[in-house]
Amino acid sequence: MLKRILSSGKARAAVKRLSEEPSARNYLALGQLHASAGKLGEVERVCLEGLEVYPDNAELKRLLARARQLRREDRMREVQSQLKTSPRPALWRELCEIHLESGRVARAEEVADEWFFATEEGEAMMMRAKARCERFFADRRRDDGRRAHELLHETLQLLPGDKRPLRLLLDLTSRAGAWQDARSAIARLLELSPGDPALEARFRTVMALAERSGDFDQALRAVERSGRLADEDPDADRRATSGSVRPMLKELAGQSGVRGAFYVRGGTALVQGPRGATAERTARGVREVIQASRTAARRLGLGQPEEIRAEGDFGTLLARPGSTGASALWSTEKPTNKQIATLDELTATAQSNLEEQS
Amino acid sequence: MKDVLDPLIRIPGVRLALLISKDGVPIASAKGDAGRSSEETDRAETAEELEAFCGLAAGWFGELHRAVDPLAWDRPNRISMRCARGTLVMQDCERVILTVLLHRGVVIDELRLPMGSAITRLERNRRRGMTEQRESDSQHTNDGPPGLFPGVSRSLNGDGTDVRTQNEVPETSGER
Repeated sequence: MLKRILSSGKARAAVKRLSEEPSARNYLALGQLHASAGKLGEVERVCLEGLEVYPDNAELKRLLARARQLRREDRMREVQSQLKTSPRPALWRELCEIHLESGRVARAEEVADEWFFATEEGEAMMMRAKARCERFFADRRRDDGRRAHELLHETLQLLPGDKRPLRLLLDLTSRAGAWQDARSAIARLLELSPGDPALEARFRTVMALAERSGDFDQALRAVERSGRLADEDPDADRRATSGSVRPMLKELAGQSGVRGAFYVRGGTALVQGPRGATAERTARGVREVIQASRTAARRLGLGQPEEIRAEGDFGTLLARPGSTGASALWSTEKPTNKQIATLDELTATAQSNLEEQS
Repeated sequence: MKDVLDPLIRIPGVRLALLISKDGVPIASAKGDAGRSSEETDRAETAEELEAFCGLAAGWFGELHRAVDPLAWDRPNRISMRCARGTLVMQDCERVILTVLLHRGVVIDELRLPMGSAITRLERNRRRGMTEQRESDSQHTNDGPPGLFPGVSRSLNGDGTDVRTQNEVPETSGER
């Protein structure tokens, strides 16, 4: 009770400060106060309002994502308890979707398997296929792609005339770059929706690509080898990442013990610290470390790497890869928590800038 | 090898501890906690999978070494990778790589001291093995049955140490 009174007093003061000075820091302070009081809906509202004014703020984005995650977890617990008393398809589906939104694809697949073995419904099979497709898009492993393909064909047998598995099949095959399979998926979709202009346009594009593409297995092998899906633009790597990344790198490189700070994305690297040929050589080395680690993590079945660390007489090389680029730090001492947080912010900022550009 | 890996797998959160040769051949393995869910199912359940896992892990270790070679840095002696479904830590120890696979969420630094101890135990075992080998070799030379082929004759000097003759031509027929 006392805590509630105190927190409401603090919240009122935070609201007052925000109305006097609507800065990102004040939005964040108010959001954090609501979070500590457990008002997740309020946190979400404040973060969204703040992001309308400051769309680049990484801290607000992080708080919003955390609040949403906590709400999903609350709902997941409710759904799980309801499933124990009265299992029904709507609850199974919702639970699978919560797991998928939270990035727990294997757990989503487990729930979908459970649902399918309990009911043998086409919807459950569809969810199994969806979860496996998500797993393939995240990890880019050939086995996952092949299994997703099989599950989608089983779904099509259980749900004939349903467009959703065909759309998912089209998504899978075109993202893998298997244009012949994509062409046949579009052809089947056109049978169900004849004259759809978007599908017809896509069919014409895919027709041209299908002539010089291999089969599905070859496409999966290429994805596993390169770690890149067919719809990922390789030129995006060469685009300038941002003006705001460089000052952050500069600030990191200026700290004591830091020998170099890097932001690497595809073939491009921004470097602060080493100069001239050394900068180029070091950036190439860091890029190779990150690429080799991404490939190894995928092959070892460990999923996307979140942190790569190499230690030796040279010091520590720490890389924090994001979904596209990666920031890295070469330091003679052990990197501090603040430096690690700056690396994360750097990766998030570059990512959000890239999303804006696209 | 058991005494090297066993203390590691007793640490909460350790899924697998391995000793791998530099070319990716598994030398010894020990399993710790089973995966908490299918998110963390081991890809090293069977012997074949274990061999593949060791090959891939050693391949990554080698690739990282090759990547830093042009930088005039010394080779990294410890590498780690925290991923969505687990963490892999590898530490170099002369001819072998000590590898540990952890559950997601386990702090890598907690393994620093136990892995250091494991490497010390490994080196001590190796030194002990070398000493024993040397002793058994010398015993074999002195007490073994006479050789079939002509060899360099040996004689013991006054203080009992082995003295070889400088003459390469055998002084005897080879049979003593």
